[in-house]
Parts: sequence; C-alpha cells; structure tokens
Amino acid sequence: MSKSGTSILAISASVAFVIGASFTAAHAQSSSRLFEVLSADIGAPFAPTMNHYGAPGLIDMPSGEAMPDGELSFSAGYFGSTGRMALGFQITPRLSGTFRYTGVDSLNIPGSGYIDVIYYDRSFDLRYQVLRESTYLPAVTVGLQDFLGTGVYSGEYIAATKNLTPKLKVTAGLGWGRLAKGGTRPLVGGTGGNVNFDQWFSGSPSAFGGVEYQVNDRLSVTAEYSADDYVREASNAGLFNRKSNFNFGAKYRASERTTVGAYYMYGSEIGLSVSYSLNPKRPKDTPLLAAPAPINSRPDRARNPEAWVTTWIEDSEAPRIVRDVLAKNLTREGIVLESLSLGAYEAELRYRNTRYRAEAIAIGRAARAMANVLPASVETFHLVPMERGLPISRTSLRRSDLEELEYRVDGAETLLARAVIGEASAQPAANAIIGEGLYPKFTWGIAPYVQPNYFDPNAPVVLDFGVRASARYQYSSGLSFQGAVSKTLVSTLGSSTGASTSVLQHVRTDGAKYKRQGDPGIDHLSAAYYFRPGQNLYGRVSAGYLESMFAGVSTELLWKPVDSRFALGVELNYVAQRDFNRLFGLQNYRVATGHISGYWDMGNGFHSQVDVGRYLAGDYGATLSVSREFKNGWRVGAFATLTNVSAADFGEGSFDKGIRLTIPLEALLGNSNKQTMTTTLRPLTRDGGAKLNVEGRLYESVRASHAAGIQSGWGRVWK
Amino acid sequence: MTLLKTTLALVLGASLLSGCGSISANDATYASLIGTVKERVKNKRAIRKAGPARAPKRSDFAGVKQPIISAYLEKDDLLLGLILNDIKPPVLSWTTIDRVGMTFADARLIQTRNFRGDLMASSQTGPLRVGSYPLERRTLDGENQQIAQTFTCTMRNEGTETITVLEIKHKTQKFTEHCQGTKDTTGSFTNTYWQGGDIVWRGRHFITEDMGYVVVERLVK
Repeated sequence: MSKSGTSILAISASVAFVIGASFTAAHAQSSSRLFEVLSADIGAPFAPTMNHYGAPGLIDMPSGEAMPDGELSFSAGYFGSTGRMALGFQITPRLSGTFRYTGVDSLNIPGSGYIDVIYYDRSFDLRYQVLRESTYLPAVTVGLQDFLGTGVYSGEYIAATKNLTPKLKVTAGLGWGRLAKGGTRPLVGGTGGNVNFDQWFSGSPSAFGGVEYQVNDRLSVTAEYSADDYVREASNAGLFNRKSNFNFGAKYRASERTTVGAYYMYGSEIGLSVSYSLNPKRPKDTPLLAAPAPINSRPDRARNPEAWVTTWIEDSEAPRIVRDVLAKNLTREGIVLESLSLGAYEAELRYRNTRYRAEAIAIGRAARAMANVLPASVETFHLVPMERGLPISRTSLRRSDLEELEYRVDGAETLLARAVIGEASAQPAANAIIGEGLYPKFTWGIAPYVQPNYFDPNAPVVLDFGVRASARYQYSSGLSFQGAVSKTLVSTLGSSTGASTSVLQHVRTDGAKYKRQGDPGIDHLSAAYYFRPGQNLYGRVSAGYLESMFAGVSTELLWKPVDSRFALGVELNYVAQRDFNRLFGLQNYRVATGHISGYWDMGNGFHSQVDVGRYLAGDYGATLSVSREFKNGWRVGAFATLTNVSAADFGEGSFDKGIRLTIPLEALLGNSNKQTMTTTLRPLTRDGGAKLNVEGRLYESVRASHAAGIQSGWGRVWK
Repeated sequence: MTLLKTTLALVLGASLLSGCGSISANDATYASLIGTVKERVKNKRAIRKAGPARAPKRSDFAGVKQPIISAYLEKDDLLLGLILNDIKPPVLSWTTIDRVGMTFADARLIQTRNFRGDLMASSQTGPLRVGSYPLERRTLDGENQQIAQTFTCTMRNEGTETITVLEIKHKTQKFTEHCQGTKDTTGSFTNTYWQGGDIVWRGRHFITEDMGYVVVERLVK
C-alpha cells in the first residue's frame, strides 16, 4: 500500500479541495485551544469555594472542605481597606497550602516600617482534612493560618462542614488567635518568618460558622458568623467600622473555572472577590499530536528469503544511505539523528528529541521510523536519547514486537514488558556514522520578553518589558557557546531605588541597580561542556558570564543510575560578582560556592531535593525542596533554605523560602512541545541562602529520559 | 480579537516565565510561544479567507480510484476526509493530509490519532456477527496515563435498511452494538453499522467521552 503522500498526489484536485477544507477545519478545532485549558469542568456543582483568605471557606471564615486533589487556585478579594491575593494548592487529597499577599491601606503597625502607606504582608497557611464527609459525619479540617509570617493573620482553627441537602451546607468551627474574639496576638518580633509553634491553639477559642445555599447551578448565597474582630484594622486603626459579626454574600460561577463574589461584611463594608481554579490532573484536552506513520511489515521470511539477506552490510555505502533516509523521516517527527550504528541484526540510534515532553513518544516514533527504513534483517533497535550531548539511557526494542503490537489493545503495556531500558555507553559504537550537517551550528534569535518581579516591600510588582537577542554556537554535541543581551523598553520600576540595606554581601538585593545601570546589558555569555566521565555519571563544566549578576566557572558531577529513584550530585563554582552595568567588568567580590545534592523520586509524583553547602554570600546551610509533579508535566513545589546567617542579618523573612510553579507549554498551546515555563515566587528576595543561577543543571537534564521518566509516559508510546 | 488574543497569550506566557529575578525559561520557550501564536493567527486568517467548508459532492470523486472515507465528528460538527494509508488485514488505517488518523479492524474503530481525546486502542472482535463478547479499550486520562476499560458488548441485527451515501443508495443490513462497562468501567455506548455486501458503508462509532461519536461513510470503495 502506498503511503499517504503518494495517495494524495493521485487524488483529483476537486477531492483534494474537499479534504483540504476538512484539514482547515481540523486546525480550526485546535486553534481555539490556547485558552480552553482555562475553562475545564471543575466537577461537583456545589463545589467548595474560596474565602477572603484564599482557603476553602465561607466569606471570611474557613470551612471543613478540601478542594479536589491537585487543584490550583488563584484568588483576590477586597473589603474595608484590605486587599488580599492568594495562591492555593491542594497538595494531597487532604493537605493543602496557601501563600497569601495582603495589602492594607494605612495599617500602621509599630516597627513594621509601614507608616501611613500600604502595609504589605506575606503569609502561609497549611490545612489538613482529618475527616472526610460521610453520610452522618461532616468533613473536618484543622488549619494553621499565617504560621510563618509576622503573625498579623496568625490563627488556628478546626472547621466542620456538612452537606445537609444537595443545595444546603452548614459550617461550624472553633478559632484561635486571629480567629477568636478579641484575638490580637503579639506580632512575631524582628524579621518574622519564624514558625510560631508556641502560639498555636493558645488563648481562648471562639466559635464561627455559616450556611451556604445553592440557588442554581451558578449562584449560591452565604451567611456567616465571623469570629475575627479585626482589632488592628477596625478598633486600632479605624480603617472601617465593625458593627456586626455577621457577613452576607453571594457567589456566582461566571465560568466553570471562575467564581466572583459580592458581600456585605461586618455591618458596614462592601466586599468583592474573584477566584480562578484549574486542576492539572484534569486538563480539558490532551495535546494534539499528528498521527504517526504506520509500520511497514517486513515480507514473510519463508516466502521471500532474499529480502532478509545480510549482504547489504558489505556495501560500504549502505549505512550512509540508510542514515540519510532515516534522518529525513525522523526530522518529520521532530527528532534529530545524532548517530546511527548499523549491524546486520541490530542498530543503535542516538537521537535528540526536540518535540515531545514524554520521551516515550519519541521512542515510539523513532522506532517506527527505523522499522520503515532499516533492512529486514535488523531485528533489534537500541534507542538512545541525547540531551545536551549526553547519552541518557538505552531502550532496546524488538522489531517483531513493534510489528505484532501496533494495533493490539494491549500494545503499550506488552511493549513495555518486552523492552529493556538500561545504561547507554558514553560513546557510540566504533562503526557509528554521525548525523550529517549537525555541527558546528549557529543559531540566533530576537524576541520580546516580560519579566515580573514580585513582593519587593517598596514595589510589590515590577514589570519589565523589553527585547532580548540571543545566539548559540553548538560546536559539537556536548560543547556550546551561548549568550544573550537584553534591553528594557518599558519598566514599572519607577522611582524605586531598591537600595539594599542588607548587612550581607549584596548578592541578590542589588537587583534594582543592575536594572538601572545594566540596560542594555549582557544577560549571559558562556561556554558549556557536557560529558560522561563513567558509568552512571554525568558531568558539566560551564564558564563565562553565567548569569546577570555573577561570572566564573561552574562544575557539576551527577551520579544517577538509569533505573534508580535516587541521585547524588556535587556542584562547585568559583564566581565573581559582575559590574552593575552588566558588561564585561567584575567587582571585587569573589566566592567559592557549591553544594552536595541528594535527589529522591519519592513516588506518587512527589520529588524531594536536599542541597547542602555554601551559598553566594558565603553562608553555609541547606535547602530542602519538595514538589509534586503531575505526569503531564505540571509541577508545584516549595523550598526553604536555612543557613548560618542569623535571622537579624538575613533581614525580613528570616530565611529564604518560596514556591515554584512549572507549567508545560503544551498544556497552554495544545500542541506537542518540550518547553516549560517556571516561575519562582519568593516572599522577599534577600542575600542569605542564595544560589548561583546556572543554566542546564544535570539532574533535570537527564531524569526525564531515565527509566521512571520513560515509563511514566509509556501510555503514549503508540501515539 | 485575534490581535487581542495574541497579545494576551504573549503576556500570559511571558509573565509566567520568571519571577523574583530568577529566569527559569530559556529563549526556546519564548520562540515556541511566539511561533505557536503566529501559526494560530495564520491559520485563522486562512480559515476566514477560505470561507465555510463545502460539503463534498459525488462529482468531486469522478475518476478517483483511491479508497476514501468521510468522518463526521458529531460533537465538533466537523467533517474530515481520509485516505487509506495502511492495510494489514483485517486492519485498515486512514489519515487526513494533516495526519488526523483513524484505524478500523473489520470496519470497527480501534484507534484514533490527533483528536483531543484519542481512543488509543481497542480489542479486535472480528467481523460483525450477532451475539455477546467482551471488549477492551485503552484511553488516556488527564495526566496522559493509559486507562484500561472493559465492556461486555451485544450485537443485534436490526434488519435491512437502504441508506444513501453521497448520492448513492446502498441496501444494507443494520447492526447495533451495545457495550456496557464491566468491573471498574462505568458507562456504556452503542455503535451502529450499515453493512452492504462485504463493505460497511456507514458506521457510527463511539470514540471517547471527550470526543463523542463519529459517523464514518465509505465514499469511494
């Protein structure tokens, strides 16, 4: 049977028009995809909604409910001179966390540094649902509110919620601290950021509660009795007149993801809120992926033995011809042939996957291409994904299995059971022929960029709009030279000087100086070399202007067996601080920094990493990072660093901590794409616990193509 | 509107690229984002320029010898034209020129590709015949993990029916295949086939919950 290309040529122009019209319409189907991910179904009609603190709840009070596992929520609300924005994440089915950023107009808290201006506060919550709702029992949640900040909103609660009818639910709870009558705890002194264990559940509790009624699929109304006296805001600062304990409101589901609310609060105030939620576990669509080429079955060996002869191997030109045809077919699938080692009965393909986030898809497509090109005698395919010039793993498949399983219902799981995933040798076989015209290669580009900076005490959100030119010279598979320069076109930095008051070496807090004096400037200009020093080992050496603020040499060694859930790494760097003009000059500050890192794939999507070592400011300590990674690439994590820098020397926040969110681009764009977008949210950027920002660290470069990564995407090997 | 969406896409994407001065995305991400948005804008312009797709006519296929099927996606109100690109009896695989694929075994849908919710695989249950039999299917969940589904299916002969496929009448035997989830699989679906001679001229096949049903007609034998 001829392949599609031939068939299309044979069809009359009029039929091609009909099919062409369908083709256009099919693309129309995908073209509206960009924002569809934002409107996926959120499930139960009377689902929990967010309160003003960005936690599941009534209006201002929490409830006993939990959001669906994996739910990410963004909420914002305003009333009585208080504005709050929150990012919430349902970490496990029972455990959730919230990071909240609050601004209160003219809340003059002694010692805070905010007098007659907007008082900004950053706080974290944790909630655990100890009891799920059942026929007779309510859902019960224990929560810690603002347990890690200055304590302005510090409080604890136990809340219970029961759905009495499909349209009516009630909540009752006990609150401590902020959530108790008259509850104004003394603020955590100094720089904040310490866990206030001693205050948890201290003092007399107060009761709170409320009723929610669902009027229809979109509209619900709520009445609550609040235990929050707003002593600082109402009684002390007089920001609003708190006349009542009762709040009333309505929430309207504007779309399946978005809920807006309006409230009459504390007998005097109008409140508004909006929340938006999405769940990485339930995207509306999976990324579109063009159908793969069918596998050409080999002729029957008994009937056609001449097709199976191996004399072709004696033809010195045969491997090159095969390589060229294979490379062409692979290019069509977004795969680059790095090298091909061809024997009479087996072949090893080293390739670079430029398109698929799941390595299993690349393996499946590369194997199909091999089956369609290689002589019939070649039965075993070895597929070696290459990343930054490093051979990462080797998946061996039998060609007869591919032919047998292509259309079988159990094709994916059977192929995995028969596949062998193991270590790749550092170098290709001696007879391997290298992909043609790959190196050296020069690429360049110019693109606009937007760079936000959040939570500076003087400028909560700074946006830089600019243009960046970048270039890369790939000298060989593992050696590259790259650089980028950028120019800010519009910035909201305004008059903020951002002058650092840090008593530590200003390794990160001079960001505003770099912005002002280093525009235009060199973002980075460096060389990187990747290599395999031994079995299970991966190495990297980077040198040059490694990032906006530091230049020097960075070296890294990683031990990571292909089938291991553990890895160990060592990174050693010697760097100098760059001039503020971000050109070629260096300041006098030099530092040797580096870490020993342990990585653990904990299972069920949870990953942890511990880095122990010396940080940029010369401080010694450790960073713990824990993240939940969804199998479709979404990732939500948190990290904290404790070093020998005292809380006083560190400054506000006491220690470095933050949240990291990674979104696979394919989830937004709806097509196959390896790229991800990562944003790191820190309550404050300080100098303690700061690490070098070097591009292309090893662990993240290799793990997706190791056994666990390949297996997690294997369901799409035939896609 | 296109410009607005494009701008929003760029701002949305770019604003996620970094925070707190830690640039975690590389230039390839920007290039990818911009490239995709440009492609979308180009496609939309092409669609607008081409106008609504014209329904095929029998005269469009005069002289065509290649087998061709049409596939109408009910949920999307979308008509596709597919040509044959693989024969491994009893399996026939079809594709559009932009590589939307459908594969049938004994005229029953066993795979789709390049739909937003693909049927990854289905067991082959042989030629249409009255009776009950088990059916297995594989789909993907929201995290792209394979889901195995099991059904018990019952095929019934509904008698003869004359249908018209692209202006040509065919006398057919109508079969309905009702499949009910078993074990952990919930839900059910019903496929319908109109068979005339050796050929199923029309079939209404369930793809997945996301995609709903597709009506497939054999336009050119």
